[in-house]
Amino acid sequence: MKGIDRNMVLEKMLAGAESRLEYRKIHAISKSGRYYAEAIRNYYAQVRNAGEEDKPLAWTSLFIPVELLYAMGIVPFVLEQYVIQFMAQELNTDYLDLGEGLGFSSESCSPHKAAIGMAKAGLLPLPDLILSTAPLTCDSSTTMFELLGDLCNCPGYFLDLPYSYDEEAVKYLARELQELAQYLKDRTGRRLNQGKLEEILKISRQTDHYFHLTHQLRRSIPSPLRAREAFSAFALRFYCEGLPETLEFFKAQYEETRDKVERQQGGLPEERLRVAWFGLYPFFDMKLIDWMEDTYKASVAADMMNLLPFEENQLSFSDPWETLAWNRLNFMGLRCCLPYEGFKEDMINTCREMNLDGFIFFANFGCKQTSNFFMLLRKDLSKELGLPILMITGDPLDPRITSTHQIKSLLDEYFKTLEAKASKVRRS
Amino acid sequence: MTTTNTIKGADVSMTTIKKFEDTFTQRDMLARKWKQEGRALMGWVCTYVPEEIIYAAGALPIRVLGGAQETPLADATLYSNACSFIRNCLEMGLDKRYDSLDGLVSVNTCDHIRRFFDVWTYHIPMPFKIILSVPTKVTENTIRFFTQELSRFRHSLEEFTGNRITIDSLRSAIGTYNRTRILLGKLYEKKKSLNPPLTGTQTLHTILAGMVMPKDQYNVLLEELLQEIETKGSGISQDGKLRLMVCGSELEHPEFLELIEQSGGLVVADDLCNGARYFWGMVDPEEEPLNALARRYLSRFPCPRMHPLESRVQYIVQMAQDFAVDGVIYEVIKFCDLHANTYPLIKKGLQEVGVPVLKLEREYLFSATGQLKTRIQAFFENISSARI
Repeated sequence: MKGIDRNMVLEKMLAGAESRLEYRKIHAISKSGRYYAEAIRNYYAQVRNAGEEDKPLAWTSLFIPVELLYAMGIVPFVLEQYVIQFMAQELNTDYLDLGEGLGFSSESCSPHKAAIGMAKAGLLPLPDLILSTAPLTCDSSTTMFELLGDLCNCPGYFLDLPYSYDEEAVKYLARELQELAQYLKDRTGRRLNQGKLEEILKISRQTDHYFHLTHQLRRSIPSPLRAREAFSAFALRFYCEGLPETLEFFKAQYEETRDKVERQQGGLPEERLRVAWFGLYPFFDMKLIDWMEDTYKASVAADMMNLLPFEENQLSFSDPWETLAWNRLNFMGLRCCLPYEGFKEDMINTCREMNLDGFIFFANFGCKQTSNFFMLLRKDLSKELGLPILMITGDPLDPRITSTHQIKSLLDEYFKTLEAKASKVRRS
Repeated sequence: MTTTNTIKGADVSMTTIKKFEDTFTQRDMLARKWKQEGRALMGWVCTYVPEEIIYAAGALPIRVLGGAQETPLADATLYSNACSFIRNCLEMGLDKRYDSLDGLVSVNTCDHIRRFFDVWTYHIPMPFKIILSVPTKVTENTIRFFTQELSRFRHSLEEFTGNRITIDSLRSAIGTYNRTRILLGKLYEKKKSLNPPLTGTQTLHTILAGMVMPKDQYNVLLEELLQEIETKGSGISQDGKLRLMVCGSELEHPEFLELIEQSGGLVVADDLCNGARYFWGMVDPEEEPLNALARRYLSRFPCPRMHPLESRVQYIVQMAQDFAVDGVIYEVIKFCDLHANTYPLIKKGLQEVGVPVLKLEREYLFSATGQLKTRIQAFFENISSARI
């Protein structure tokens, strides 16, 4: 940790994005690959340049609609996503320990622990604002933002998210968003550009459309995307929803995926098994996922990108606030933080359509709500689809909870069972 | 178990407290009796559930609490990171100990309680079930939304019970519940004195009984208790005991407070959902009832689910000062992110006014008493030596 400061970390992240972009240009990697690298590079650049360009920098939780911030000329620094990306590159558990040392519970979610540690170590760009949602996504996230507000001497604002999904919930969230816009105006003096917001919402609508088309194509046999390719959408939508470069990436990714499906080309050279991977990945060693795909010729046909419940973005609401509210309630699986009863059918149906041989749940030990609804989903998947399920307790950032070796052993045993089952089916 | 004589050398026995203890101990049997009398029983899970609406529907609100010594059924149903409070409550449900309930009313308090509702209703058929969306901050918009939620709750209850919940019945229920709040407020007011009339253990018995019995009957007992205190005159002599406040997660085991009090402390104040957080703050009887309920429940003594946390810190610091406590014991049930992660800010707030804090991690069931006792005694010694 010594000798590193907040600017160096950001510069390093930016340099990494630059070199990935250069590599992709030189090696004629797919169009979507280049667009992705470009969009991520641009995002880090705008965070770095916020001060110089006299734009306020707002730390945000995952479900604060960045579309609104972009429409007000405020730069969103999507903290949890940034921390995950940083930690996945650094592989340094010191920040987790530092977060715990400052009183954040050892049983909480590790990206939150790491964020506290990184903030204390002075590795994050200083915020002008801190914006969080509550009570969702989770207790670990909301309490982290309370602590960060104190650590950074910057008061937090909490956007309340309803624990329901109906017309009243949309209207309520729309009013909440209007209040957030007013708060942002009061704090920064920045006015909302209504025309810009509407333009952003249009882009977001198209992005969402291509996103879902792409991930629905993964039901094709063979499945057209590798696990990493499919998951790349995660960062971009959280960082840059509503920006033209985000749309450019998702449109290109869709077209490439569609062409592959038409050519019957899979993400893997050969597909023998199809599995779902639910939960985050062990970001501390993503080679593990490559190993799983290559060793067992197992496509990850379903993951958080297509298993999480959603309804497509709308533009049909009479006012943009309701549009924004609707979109947010359907954004990247927020609805799976709501009552299980409301989304279980969607998840089971998706699994059914994906023709899966197995279902792997990587349970982040710090995530109480996901692991506890999964206990129900597990029963339903077994009952409805007879799917063999592997549940791995682990942590996305901390290999000390469950190491690569331990995960490999569990996967090895599981896939051998799946292979045996598949060959029995083939024989019969 | 004798919990009425918790302080060595002091006669703190109270006839009414025994009645509260008995009510709580026999709550299953009493609930069945009330049900036989024709009242629907509604289990509620968290103190953000406005019981008044259930009461106004002619049903009896009963708090769902734990009580099992072991949790094998719940262990097979929940993931290992679910807190031991909901684990224990679920065990009771799965073990058919809440069979007399006609319904379950919950709120979106925390990660654990949200999933508890899912798991409970998945495994235990309930004729009536509802989870309310309680906002996490107090603004006119959140009050308006919560009022709508309460209206939805009211209509579903009307449909289920067949009883109309009129404005008058709501006002009457609010009156009864406000009476409870006034009486408990009087009791807590007396605990500010140098010789408080009740121990913390006795106070917990008092509050717990109120959560599992009809409030009109409870109010009669509370009046009786206040009368008994008046008659008795003298309170508990402090006699070198430290005045303490207990804060934190769900706590329904008087033995925990008894241990503190046997170690040389006297619990005079608390920030517990089975304590002050349950009754602090009145419902405005003049306002439209659902609006008034929404306002009161959102702006009551906050638990750490509410934002900004600053308001909770202020409440706790104010209480610590008003009750002139020498120290605070902050207890956290394992896996409770809300209480565990907000501890640093609570501690900071208390330290700014010179109140020392001891954090104790615990499980819902009362156990590991030896370790707890050692830490509590060390904390008391630190406070005492700092005074010298």
